[in-house]
Amino acid sequence: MSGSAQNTAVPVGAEAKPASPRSRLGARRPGAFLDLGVQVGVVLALCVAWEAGARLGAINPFLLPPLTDVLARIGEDAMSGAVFVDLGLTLYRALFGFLIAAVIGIPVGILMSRSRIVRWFFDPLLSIGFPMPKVAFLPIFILWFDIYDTSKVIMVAFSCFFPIAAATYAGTTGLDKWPIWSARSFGAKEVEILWEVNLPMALPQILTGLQVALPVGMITTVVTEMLMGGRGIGGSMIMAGRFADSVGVFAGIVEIVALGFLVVKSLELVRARLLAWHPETRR
Amino acid sequence: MFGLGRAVLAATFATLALAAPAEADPVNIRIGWSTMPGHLIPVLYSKPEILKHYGTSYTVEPVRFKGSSPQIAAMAAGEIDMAAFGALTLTLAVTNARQDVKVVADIIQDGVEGYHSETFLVRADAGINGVEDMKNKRVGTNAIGSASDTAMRAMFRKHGMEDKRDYTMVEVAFPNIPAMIDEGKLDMGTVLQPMSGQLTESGNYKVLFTAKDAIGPSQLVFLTAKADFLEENREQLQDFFEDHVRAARWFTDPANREEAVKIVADFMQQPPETLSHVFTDKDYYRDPFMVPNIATIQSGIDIAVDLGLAPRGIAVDPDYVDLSFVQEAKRRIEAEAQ
Repeated sequence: MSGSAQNTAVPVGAEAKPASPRSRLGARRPGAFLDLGVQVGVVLALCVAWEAGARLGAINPFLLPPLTDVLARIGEDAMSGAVFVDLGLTLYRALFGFLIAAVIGIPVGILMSRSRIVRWFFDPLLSIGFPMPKVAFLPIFILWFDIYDTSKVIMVAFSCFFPIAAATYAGTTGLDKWPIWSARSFGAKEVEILWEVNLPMALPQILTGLQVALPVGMITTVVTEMLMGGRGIGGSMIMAGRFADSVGVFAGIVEIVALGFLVVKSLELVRARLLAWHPETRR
Repeated sequence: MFGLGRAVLAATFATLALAAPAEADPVNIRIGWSTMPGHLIPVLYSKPEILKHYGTSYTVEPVRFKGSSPQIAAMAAGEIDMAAFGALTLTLAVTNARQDVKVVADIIQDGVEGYHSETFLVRADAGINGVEDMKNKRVGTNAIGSASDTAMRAMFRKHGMEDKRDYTMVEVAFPNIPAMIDEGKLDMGTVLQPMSGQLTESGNYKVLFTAKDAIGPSQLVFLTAKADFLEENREQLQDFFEDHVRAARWFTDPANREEAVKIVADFMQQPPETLSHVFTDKDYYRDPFMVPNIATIQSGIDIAVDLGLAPRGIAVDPDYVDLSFVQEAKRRIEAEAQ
């Protein structure tokens, strides 16, 4: 037993147990509250500036309608149920496309790190496809898959695939060899090493890829809805724009902001849960 | 010493420059447009010999848009001075964008006796024989909220059908609509001339209905200007409209048709023979002195309000119309002819 101050402070019998996320949050509460307070303050200041700017006539109310009008419109749409239909459709397209990309992209990334042939095939495709503006393919997808949900979901999957596959490949390639050698020395099979060593070690980077891909998927969903019409937040926004209904356009923006925030935060929570054992969560 | 002298001299010149008459500079008029050859705006000022005041009283900067509705935001943001509006977009510009605008001139009129009306085409083999057959089908529109879009919605409403519930409206640029119908990606769409005539003559397509069937004869697109811009530049705009009407008359004069079509074709980068309908009775109607039909604009607004496309109607005459420019242009042109 070392004589460190930390170890002497831990009660006997409790030192082997990692602190639960809840208790760790409790330990950081003052700082966390300060962070949260500042963040909420910035958002509130922005809202006040928006409302004041619009109400005081500093900006043409058509170009920037008051926030309270926008919130009132969201309330009306919520009462009629329209906002939930639009949000639900947008969310469904974004998550479905994202899931398809994850289901294909993660195995491709893993296979690239383990098979030279797969790497030869996919490496140039990832190099070309990753920086390319994927939405440029939309007219082709419309021709191939029609204008309904299929082309929108495939467009989202296509956009999300590249960051997920690239992050998985990077994560599973640059692994520390010692844990793998240790596992082998204990007689672990390759499949066991993959599941028990490689993937857990690569998981932070894979999750980072997913966290990059998810907002990309949300953006792609809204853009495809805007370009292809129909229901969904993007379609409603473009419709409002065409009818010079700027309150409706801003209502769509606020709804997307709220939805995007919720979705991204949810994935952060998933990450914290999956990486409960990892130093980044235990800090 | 010399430095001070130069500064005094520079200040004197600057003062003189500022005091110089402002009317020496021509007014730059930014005009929104979306469709060629229908709107003609980007080619009307391309023949200097028929324009008396271009470059002295005014210059023109045509600004292209996807349709009439995107021009509302541009006008509200001060990006254009005049716009090619339809009845609905005029209403929305006033009611939603709070713009003080005036209808000032004709651009194209639809369904006027003996002239073309906007066609909405389907494939002949699609099994679509009436508007009711469009249930759960896909409709191509150049711009949601545009004049042709309003006509389509009016026709669907007549048959108890609503966008999103009974059919899906997709924004597709005019030139791509025929290809998408052909590929089976759209079931119906607005097809402009000359494609409309060519496709129906092929026997593979048929006209499901026209804008005239939907809303009767209409002032499909008209020139609208910001009221303050008109007031601030009345004198120069008088010259502009004189040239504008004179140019429109030159282009639509059968004696100049071959040259006029060539100018349009060059602009559109198409062979002139593809524009066989232009400036004939297969084209839209244009008033000889570009005087808009206010009654049909009002009728279009009433229809749009009835469809629920605009929150409330407006009385075009007298609040949102100023025909003094085209009337003065007519007087000048007729006086010159005598």
